[in-house]
Amino acid sequence: MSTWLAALPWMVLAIAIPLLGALAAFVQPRRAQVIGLSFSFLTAGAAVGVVLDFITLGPQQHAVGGWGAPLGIDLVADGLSILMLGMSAVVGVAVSIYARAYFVPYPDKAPRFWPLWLFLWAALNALFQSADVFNLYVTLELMGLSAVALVALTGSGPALWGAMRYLLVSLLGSLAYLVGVALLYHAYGTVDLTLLAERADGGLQLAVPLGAMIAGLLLKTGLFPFHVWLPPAHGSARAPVSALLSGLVVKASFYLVLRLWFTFVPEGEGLPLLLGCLGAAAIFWGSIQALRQKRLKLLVAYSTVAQLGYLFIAFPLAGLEPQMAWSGSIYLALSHAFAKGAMFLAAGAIMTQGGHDEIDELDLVVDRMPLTLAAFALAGISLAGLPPSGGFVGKWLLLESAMAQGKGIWAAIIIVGGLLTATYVFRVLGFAFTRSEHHHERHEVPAAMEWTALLLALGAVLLGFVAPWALPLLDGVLP
Amino acid sequence: MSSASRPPGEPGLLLRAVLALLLLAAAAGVALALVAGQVAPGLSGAVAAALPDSGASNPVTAVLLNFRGYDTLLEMAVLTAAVVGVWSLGPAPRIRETEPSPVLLGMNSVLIPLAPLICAYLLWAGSSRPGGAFQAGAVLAAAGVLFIISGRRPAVHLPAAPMSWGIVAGLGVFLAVALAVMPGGRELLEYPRGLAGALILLVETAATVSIALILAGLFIGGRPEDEP
Amino acid sequence: MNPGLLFDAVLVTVLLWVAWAALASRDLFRGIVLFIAFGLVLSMGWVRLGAPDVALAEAAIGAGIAGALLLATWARLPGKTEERPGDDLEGQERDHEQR
Repeated sequence: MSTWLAALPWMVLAIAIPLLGALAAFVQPRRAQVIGLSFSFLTAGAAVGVVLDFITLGPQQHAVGGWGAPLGIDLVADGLSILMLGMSAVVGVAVSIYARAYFVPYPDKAPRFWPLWLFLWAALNALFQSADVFNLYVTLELMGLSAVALVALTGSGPALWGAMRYLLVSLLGSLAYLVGVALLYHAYGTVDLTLLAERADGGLQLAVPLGAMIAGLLLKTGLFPFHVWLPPAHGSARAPVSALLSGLVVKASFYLVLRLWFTFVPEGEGLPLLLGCLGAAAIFWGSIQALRQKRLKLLVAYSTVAQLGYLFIAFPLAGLEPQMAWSGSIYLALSHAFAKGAMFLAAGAIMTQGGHDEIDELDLVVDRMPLTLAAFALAGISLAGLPPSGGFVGKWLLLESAMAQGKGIWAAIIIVGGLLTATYVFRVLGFAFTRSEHHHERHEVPAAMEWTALLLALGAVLLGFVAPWALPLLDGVLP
Repeated sequence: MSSASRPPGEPGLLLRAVLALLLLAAAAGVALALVAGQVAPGLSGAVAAALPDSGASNPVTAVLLNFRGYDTLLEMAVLTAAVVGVWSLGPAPRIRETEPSPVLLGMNSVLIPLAPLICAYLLWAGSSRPGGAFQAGAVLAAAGVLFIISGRRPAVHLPAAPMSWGIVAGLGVFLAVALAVMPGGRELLEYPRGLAGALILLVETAATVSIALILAGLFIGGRPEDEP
Repeated sequence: MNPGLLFDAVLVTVLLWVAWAALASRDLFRGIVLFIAFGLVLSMGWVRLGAPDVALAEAAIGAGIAGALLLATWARLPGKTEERPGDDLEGQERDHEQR
């Protein structure tokens, strides 16, 4: 590669390019599709640039304004950041290609989707690279606001209701986080994560802000019992939007929980155990609800509630085996982004084809859309944690960590959750292979929609093979 | 339970009690954290020390536009995204011509011409005294709102193109300045020495226009009619 | 007693009272007006705390623009008049004043 390319400030560009794209798509609404897709490729390219810089040069830092912490704001790209950036880039590009085809019949929605999605992408990239708790708050607000507007884009009554709930929950979560930031500044005189890690000394003046911030973020992540807003929002959004929300947006607040946890390493057994129990409850409640749903998109949305539970199983396991438990949780988050993105894209293709997403009326859809069904099945394999998928690697690491510590109960929860996942995935596949008694109208589905879903699902499976190269990137990040 | 008598949508007694307890616990936690530990000195010393290099003599402006200008840049993105979101909900409600009240018209004839003047003052004063783009933009937007509720709402009939260009100007100029200073080995938003004051004024001027249009646009509550 | 302290005590009492009244108001319009009043009193509080920048922002945005947005939303709430909501904000405000 030529040297001038290598010298470009990729960290900054990964944030600036989507912002510029959002503005361009907004002022040129009639060309929004072309502008949006082009800027999506450029944004993904910038993210790849950050990843390559990390691989060749190690962790990167950028002092915005040249001041440096504590006066200025620092951007940092470490192993955890670049895994998240890479995840957003792959899912983002797939969803963008899909959305280009999806929005052709909706000329009134396309000019609105692209600016909002690019704002959302900018917020994600800014969030994953920020090392400043107040700046992180601003990125959370940008992310939440554009995500809510994307849900409301559907325009239907249930979607507007879901969006309103999502907005209120999101604001409440941000507010709790902001209270924590104010208390941290009050006690330690800085909002920079690195300096905070040096100065934080435990006690109430650390516990209260940390508790407020984590509580706010759990609300935004949708961990049981804070999940009530999630299925209406994710289930009623347009398919590409659902894929972004379930794949990326909930991961961002989870990433921030991890970032705070790794920075401050809270003491005690109580909170990790509580988080683990909530995670276990999420797995069971989400899976059972998914089994009971009549609509495909709601099933997939409840599946997100369940799969998010897995991410929190790492907390009670991290005491003795931190490396293995955290790696498992992070790898599950990555695989879930790919698999759930693919699943929502497949559900959207099925809905476009048949005009509905009633599960027991799928009516031999496998004959008409074999690619989409393959995407759904492959994504299901990763969600259920079957080898050789990325989901398998994540769950295996968690299982091994539980067994090594003799904590068989957590191992049992992981296995039973996997069985439940397989059950609801097979329920959908079963109806896809059955003839329905009713006749449904049929529409053409653009090939781009089917193929992006399939490639993303393949990505979720392939993640299992790249784990030996991906996991060492986390060295030095985990506590 | 008294649930039969309460209006629909009102939470029950139990839920209210639980919420009240949670809020009390949160408030007690915050109070405890505030009195429990030390109070760190904060960053006002560092701000004062770096103020001469910042291009602004008002420390608040220096923090918002220079030291933590990146936060403000993203906040402009939040505001812009808000308007994009409102435009996505549908066209602005149709306006029916109404006879404006004489009191309002009289008030407007004084306040509206005054608003740009106050706006310009606040914008200019921002570099050395309290003021700045957010306040200036809000004053201008207030004039717009008064104009709209006077019964002749031309803002809604404003063509989409100038409105949307005005909305993106703030973030666009800010981003352009932040990136344009980078060649020559500087970081994002690292104003070259000597140019900081002028660049901050440029960024704030564009931001004022955008903030005024954004806030007025939120009040109008929908996209212009000729916007697809 | 120190007059500054006395003023602050009155300010805080009024602030809490207005906040509570805005929250507890059964009439939405009354609640909004009290919210605007709350913003103005709060901006006086910021002046007393030596933060004139925050005071200006609170008065202009917290009381002014947020108040206008709330009133605009209030005017569009269904079931207020026979007319289509949102058509006649100013007229509705006048109706309210006459009541």
